[in-house]
Amino acid sequence: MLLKAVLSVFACLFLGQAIVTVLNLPLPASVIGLLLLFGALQVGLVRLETVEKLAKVMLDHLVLLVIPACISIMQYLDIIADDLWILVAATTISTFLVLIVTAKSYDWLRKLQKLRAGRGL
Amino acid sequence: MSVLKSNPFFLLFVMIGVFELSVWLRQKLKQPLINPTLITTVGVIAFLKLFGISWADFEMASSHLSFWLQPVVVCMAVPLYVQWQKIRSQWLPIIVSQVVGSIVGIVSGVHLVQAMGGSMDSMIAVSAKSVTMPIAIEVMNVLGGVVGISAATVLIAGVAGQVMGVYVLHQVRVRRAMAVGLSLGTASHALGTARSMQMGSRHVAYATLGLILNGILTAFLAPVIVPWLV
Repeated sequence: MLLKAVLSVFACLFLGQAIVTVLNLPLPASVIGLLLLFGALQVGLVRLETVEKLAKVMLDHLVLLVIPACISIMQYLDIIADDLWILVAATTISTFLVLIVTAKSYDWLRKLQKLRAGRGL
Repeated sequence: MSVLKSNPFFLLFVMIGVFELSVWLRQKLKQPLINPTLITTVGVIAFLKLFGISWADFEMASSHLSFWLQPVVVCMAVPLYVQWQKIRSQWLPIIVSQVVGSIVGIVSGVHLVQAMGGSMDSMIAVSAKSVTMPIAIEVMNVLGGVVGISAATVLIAGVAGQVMGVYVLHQVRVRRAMAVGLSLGTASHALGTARSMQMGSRHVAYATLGLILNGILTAFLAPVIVPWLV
């Protein structure tokens, strides 16, 4: 069962890579692979039971997989030190902006949607 | 001797060991702000510097883990599919708010770094700061940015949202579970999602949705927007 899941994931990755290469798109193959697996689940090509277990194990260990990328910071300590306060300030302000506009626009659109549904439009 | 120092099993043992130790510490002290990612990053960098182990040696060892970075992104289709079944009626507000959030995240980050006089590398790096790390790494590869600098901004965005996010949302009178959860995932990826776990399962579901959708949208939008800004 787990092998079937691995096969599905690898197939999506390979197809994603093929699409990106052939069409020469500026996109990560893995994100195309994500959309392909999502589509395959939607149309019933891949069953949820097949990939559920693998996805859980993989996503539970996501943090461990990305730590090497964090450790690669050690090569750029001087560049980061130069811009440290710029990076901290810009990232923090921008993060709060994203929080506010996402939450506010969602709230507002949801209200609008409910109003329209209420009026039977 | 140097063969022993650069042995991949030894290096991965150290990394996973420090990680396990910090997870144990967090549970023991019941302090959700103890951040295993941060502790392991700082701990392993200090360890490598102390014993004179080069990044190249560590990269060799970690490549066995990094192979799974792309499959883990594909696996995100599963929680996305599960959540999608539940929120189908609200797909429009969710997608529109995600597109707005992604664009604001990219544009405001790059512009702020530019305005403060940061380097070109910093401008490109900050564009993926709200994106979950495996996708941020991919976005940097597409944009020709520096993964190491981007990883730093991803960590900062995560910690900022985890520690201050709920307070900021309260200040602007956002209190609904869906809006809070969704925007925490959108702005602060996995750490925002971790923060939402203290609020309940509905929050987590929305945060997960925000994390995945922001990752997909930024992967599509950043290669279009960033070259146009810098």
